[in-house]
Amino acid sequence: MSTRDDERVELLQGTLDLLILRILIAGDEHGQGIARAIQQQTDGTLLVEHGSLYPALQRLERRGWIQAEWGTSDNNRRARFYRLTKTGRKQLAAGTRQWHRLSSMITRVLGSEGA
Amino acid sequence: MWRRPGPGDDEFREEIEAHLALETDRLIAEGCAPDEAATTARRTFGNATLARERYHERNRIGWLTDLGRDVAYAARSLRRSPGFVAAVVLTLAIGLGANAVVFSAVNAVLLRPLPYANAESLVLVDHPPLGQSPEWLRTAWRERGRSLADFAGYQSPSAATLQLPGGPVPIVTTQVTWNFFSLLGTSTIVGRGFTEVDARAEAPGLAVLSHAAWRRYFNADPTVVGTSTTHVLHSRETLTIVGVLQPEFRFPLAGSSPVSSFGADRQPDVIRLAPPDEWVKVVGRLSPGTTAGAASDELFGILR
Repeated sequence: MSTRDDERVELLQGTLDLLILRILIAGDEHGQGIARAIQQQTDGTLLVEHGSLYPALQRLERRGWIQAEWGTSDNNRRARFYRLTKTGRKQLAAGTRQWHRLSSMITRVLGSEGA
Repeated sequence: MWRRPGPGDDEFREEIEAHLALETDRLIAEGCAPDEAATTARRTFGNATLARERYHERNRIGWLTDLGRDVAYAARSLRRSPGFVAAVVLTLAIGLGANAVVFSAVNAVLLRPLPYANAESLVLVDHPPLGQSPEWLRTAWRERGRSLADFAGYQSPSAATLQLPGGPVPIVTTQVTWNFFSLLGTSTIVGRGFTEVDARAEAPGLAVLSHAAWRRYFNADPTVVGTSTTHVLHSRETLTIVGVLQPEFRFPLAGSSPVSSFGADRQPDVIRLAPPDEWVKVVGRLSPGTTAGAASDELFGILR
């Protein structure tokens, strides 16, 4: 993933997974839709290199947290849609809790900005 | 043979084409001219043509033969125009001297010799924007490539938890392909590394410990080989420890940005055998007499 300043921000691998799962809570979506949603929901701050989603999607699919099937988009294009599975929902809940714990831990270690 | 869920190679390519079509539609709906929309969609995803053009331009000014500053410059501009699949555009040599640009945050590694056999022939293969490669691409490289004598896969380390009899402990973990340690010339002090048989058997949960983790969490007990423990990251996987690495082994920690992921700049404690279809970063050995530039050229051309 990259920011506007062209800095490559390497997220913890699980973070991208969580973002994808979170987006799918709102409904089934295909890869391009997920990429767009990440952009939108971060106010365009995170410009996702769309291709970078696919390793994550394949990982999630292999784990059975999402499942996919071909369908038709709003504008009548064939696309592969992803959906959260029951296991995926549980992982999202657990993962989100863990992420918050981890990030508050890191914040404590790093101290406040400019310190 | 049981097939893992997920798209096959052809299906994946179809999915990518669909993605590009949808993104193009969206851009047109947002007011972009149709041919510009197509180009932008490819660039946002990864533009093979653009990357190819830029790559050849770079080649003409010989940037690959003068590592160091040129590499850093090329890396920055490549991030602006990454190429999906087609963009094997940059290889860096791990080792001492002018080529030691790979490791960023881990200063200690830059200053001392890297414990890999014939480190000067090792290269990291980078291909933005994916950063990691799918199995089908690596199969194509193996079948049609000559510039790399051999290559192996690895991933960036990340944080996880290990369930030990005494309770859970926080660790750093990662995955590698079966030939990763043999490629680097790394041996074990107890037990063994991974073998091709392990990979073909698709036996789940094989792992190797770092020497430090072995001392810290297993009291340097030599009977650790064969021990099972549960690894908790995304799923509760049972791991079977097959070996312990030599104390001087260092896992390659490359290219971290200033904001690096938690655990990504730490040596992994537990290194698991990656499933064969896992996406991995690639480290390779140049064939004798081959330069990094020639390898980039060849790998770049082996597509579709």
